[in-house]
Amino acid sequence: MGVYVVTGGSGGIGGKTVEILRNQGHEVVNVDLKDGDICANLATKEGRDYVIQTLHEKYPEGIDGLCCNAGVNGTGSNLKLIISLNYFGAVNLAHGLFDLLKKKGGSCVVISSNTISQGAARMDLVDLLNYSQTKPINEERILNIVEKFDGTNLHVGNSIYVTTKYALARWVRRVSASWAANGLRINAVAPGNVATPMTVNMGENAKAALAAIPIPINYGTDELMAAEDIANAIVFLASPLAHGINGNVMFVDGGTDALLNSEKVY
Amino acid sequence: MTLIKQYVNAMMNQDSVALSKVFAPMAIFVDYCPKDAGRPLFHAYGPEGIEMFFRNQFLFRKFEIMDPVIVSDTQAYYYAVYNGYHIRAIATIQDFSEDGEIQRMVVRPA
Repeated sequence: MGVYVVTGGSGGIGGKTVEILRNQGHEVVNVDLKDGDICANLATKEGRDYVIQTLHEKYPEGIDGLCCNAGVNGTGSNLKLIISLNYFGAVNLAHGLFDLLKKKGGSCVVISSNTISQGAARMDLVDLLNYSQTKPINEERILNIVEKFDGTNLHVGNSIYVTTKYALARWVRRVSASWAANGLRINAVAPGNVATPMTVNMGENAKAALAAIPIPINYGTDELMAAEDIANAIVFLASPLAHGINGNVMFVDGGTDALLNSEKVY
Repeated sequence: MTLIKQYVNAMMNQDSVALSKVFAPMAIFVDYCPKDAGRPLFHAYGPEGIEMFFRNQFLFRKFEIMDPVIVSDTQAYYYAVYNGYHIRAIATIQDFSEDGEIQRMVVRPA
């Protein structure tokens, strides 16, 4: 059995991922702001450094998998948090744990979004994120840019969210060959709209908006994707069964992307 | 009412369910006009796929048609709007199913 690190594992997709991995007999470390095995704020450099140091002390022999799930959606007004947590909270943590993954020929899975194919990403910011590497000064520069945007505008929040998820997916594609040459794999999962406690109580407008992003496997119902559907894909990609899969952005959205973008075969 | 008229009415009303009902179970809908607007062409398969695809287009992509002119039992001209980009289009029913539904619909710039 292996050692897997899951961020954002206290609920939702991350929680299901933790549950499935533990049921398979693996040792799982949940890194989350609350109720984690390691409690830390991955939106900050200090939080990430703490997690990286703790895991190095606890697992000097290496880890088998890292699932970067922690993130926030675009409905909040804190645009800087979206950038810091969704992008840098995943990329910088993965860089910091690279050596532990390498020791065991491990696998990394980051959570993107199927919204990346729907044209809302700000490609200027995607470029800035992908060129930032892991330098704190570059993160600070990008946060200074985003700080000037109108965080109360939902469209802006959504575009920043999609931007971080697009940048994550492209980062995965860019580093995957080098990582593989070092004996480890990295992939992304791009989920569709997932049922959460928040979606149960949403208003009629929000429900209508979600209904206009159809999920073919749930045709004729108003059901969203189940967190377990996404978690199963994450666990698969993190497992040795997916040994041949590297640098892949796997859409786990019940067929939404294929419906809306059938002509984008590659 | 002819199928082309039902098709145009459904498009004008932005009614994705009514639109899907004029298509056969394995129907193909292809619209080449979006390419002129710098986007991939529209391709939808089967009435359920056509319903879901246009449900999204009508609400999120602001797709609409304007000023339709039905010129025959198989063809209609209209202005189609793709994300604010207006294109003069001609929709043609190229094939019917054995049950008389649309089997293949192709839309091209006119």
